Amino acid sequence: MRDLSTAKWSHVTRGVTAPGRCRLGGLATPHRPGDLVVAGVDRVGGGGRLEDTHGRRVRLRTGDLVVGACGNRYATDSYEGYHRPGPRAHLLTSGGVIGTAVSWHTGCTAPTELTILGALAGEDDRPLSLDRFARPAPPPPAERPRVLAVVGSSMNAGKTTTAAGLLTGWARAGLVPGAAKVTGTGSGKDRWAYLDAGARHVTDFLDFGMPSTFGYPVERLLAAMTAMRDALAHDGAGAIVLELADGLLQHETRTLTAALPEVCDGVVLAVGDALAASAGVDLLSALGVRVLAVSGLVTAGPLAAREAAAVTGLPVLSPARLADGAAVELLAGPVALATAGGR
Amino acid sequence: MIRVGAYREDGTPGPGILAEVELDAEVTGPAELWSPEVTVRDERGGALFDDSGGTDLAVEPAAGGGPLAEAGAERRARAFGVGNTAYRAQRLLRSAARLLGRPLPHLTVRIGAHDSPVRWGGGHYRLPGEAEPAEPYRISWAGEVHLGGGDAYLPGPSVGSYFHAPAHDAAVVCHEVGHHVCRHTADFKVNRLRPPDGQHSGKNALDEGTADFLTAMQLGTPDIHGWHRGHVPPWDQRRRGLDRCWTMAHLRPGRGGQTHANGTVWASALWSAHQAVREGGGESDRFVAMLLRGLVRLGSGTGAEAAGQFTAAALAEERKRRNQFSSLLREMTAADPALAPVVLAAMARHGIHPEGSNRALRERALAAALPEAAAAALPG
Repeated sequence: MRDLSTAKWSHVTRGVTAPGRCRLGGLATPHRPGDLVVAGVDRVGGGGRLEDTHGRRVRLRTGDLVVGACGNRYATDSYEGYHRPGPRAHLLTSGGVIGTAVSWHTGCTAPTELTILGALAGEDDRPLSLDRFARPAPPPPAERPRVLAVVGSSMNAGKTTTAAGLLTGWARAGLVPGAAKVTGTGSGKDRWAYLDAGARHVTDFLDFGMPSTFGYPVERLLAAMTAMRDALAHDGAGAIVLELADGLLQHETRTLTAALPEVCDGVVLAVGDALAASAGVDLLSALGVRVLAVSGLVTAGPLAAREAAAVTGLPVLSPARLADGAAVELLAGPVALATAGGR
Repeated sequence: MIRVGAYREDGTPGPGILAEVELDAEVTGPAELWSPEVTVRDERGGALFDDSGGTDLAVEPAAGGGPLAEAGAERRARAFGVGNTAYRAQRLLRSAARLLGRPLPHLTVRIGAHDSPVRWGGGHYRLPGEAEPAEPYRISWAGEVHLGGGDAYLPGPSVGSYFHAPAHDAAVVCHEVGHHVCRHTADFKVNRLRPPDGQHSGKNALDEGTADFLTAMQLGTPDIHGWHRGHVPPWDQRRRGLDRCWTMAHLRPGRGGQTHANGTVWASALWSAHQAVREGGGESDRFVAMLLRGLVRLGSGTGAEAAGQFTAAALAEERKRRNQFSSLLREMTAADPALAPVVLAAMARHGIHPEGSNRALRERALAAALPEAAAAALPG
């Protein structure tokens, strides 16, 4: 039996209780998404790092043992990967999602290659899955706090930065901010960004048993989105932001977005340019979603911001402007703030 | 006389006790109260008093209103803010006028000022002249207090959060009104010798500290900002608590200095002196009168103004004189020699003496705080 005390435990295992009592199990049954596995590093690729349960980016070396979770990845600027039963796999995220990469962005190097050695098993030798450590869905809170959602035109459109701007603005205003990463692929990066921005309570799909949301049934994602919102309310959040990963054209994101009017009070759209702002607002309007403002990378350029404001008729608010007071105004509803400037 | 809702001081960190109070004022606009001492106006528009019948104004603070409140609650909160501000300002100005033996020039207070494009949770005292940010108003020659509409939530006096509208916070109102008292007594920036439209709105540490002390006298507590600075520990100078022994060693001189924090050195020394006077059987009013008369003496003293020297250099020299803690202490002791021994003793515990520049007093206080051998090694 391999000793797991020297294994590198990835971010997606952060919810595993008593890891010291876990052991390497067999390969008797095919793995499913969410199953925890132990893999050996055959060749280091990608960024060459693994984010551990504390958030440290640990250097990977050939021969290392890695504990991660099976899953898929949908990242237009990075890897496209799927869970495939079998011993050969790739490290799809530095956060520890393990699957098979089928394509990747030209800016990426080939991913780290792994051999799956077996399941991560508990003391009873039964294989462990993230579902075992998932937080149960809470009952609806007696009083629901104000909730905004952030959606974007694509990956790297500035969604997390926008969410962070909202969180900072709320924290500065004395509110108790909460944040949920509703969809995406297991990584601590956004979680740390929320906390750094002032979030007092944070949750994500990992807390609800999914290492990556791509490929999970939409019904489960819808239930998880509501559960995350309610969990934050129960934890004590007074203002909540829900961030949906990827762009509006991604299937699951689009389906969840259509449900947002039932879940939140309004949406902030993060985009990289004015054309995306126009298309995004049209798409959201067609889904019946109330867009309160545009933000994201487009706000980096005053000219692009003015273009976006002109074409959408919405306030275009930079993350700094959100942090500087506009975040609270947005909680109150539509605002007449037409510029991206500050005081 | 009208009746308004206001917070009465209760000596605890918080807005105070909610009460209906008599106010010698009248409604002169949809969002304006006028009294002989002060006009208070909410600049954000709307009719705040139209459901009151004219003499009994809003008594309900509506948890401060704010962006998350429904429209009716926001209107009630604004109306309360106008009444509360008028009540606090009138009380302080009347008290000062009684002790000075003359009224101060009429003060204008604007609420909801500078709230665009970003909400503002503070207050300031402005005179006509260049200012940052630029004033959208034509500022009264006598000076104006501007209060933001608020930008943050705080723990409320009861369960739940409270939108910290500065007009609901007696400490903010009294502090800014305190600057009005300073302007028309000590005139620390020597504005009387400046052009009417070129007044200097800057403050020095004595101005900030005096305003804090007058606030403490009004609120009956040295922890004047305990409500909206409750997150700052009491041992931190930024809490601006007056019951700590801040000494000249805590003064941070020069442009990098923090005027409000430096003001706590003077404010805490005044608080100590006031306590000492009380413990010796003296009355609060007598000590406050000593301070006010000292301020008047400082502002009409023996410098450039008295000598009729109006050159830039002479003005700078006079301004420097009015910056010195020792100068004001000397004028206070001259204003009430009988109280001088006890006041000087109390001030000395804060490193404030009637002779020496601020820098010299600071070095003296620092040396006194060091072990003997280290102090001996200091130059000079």
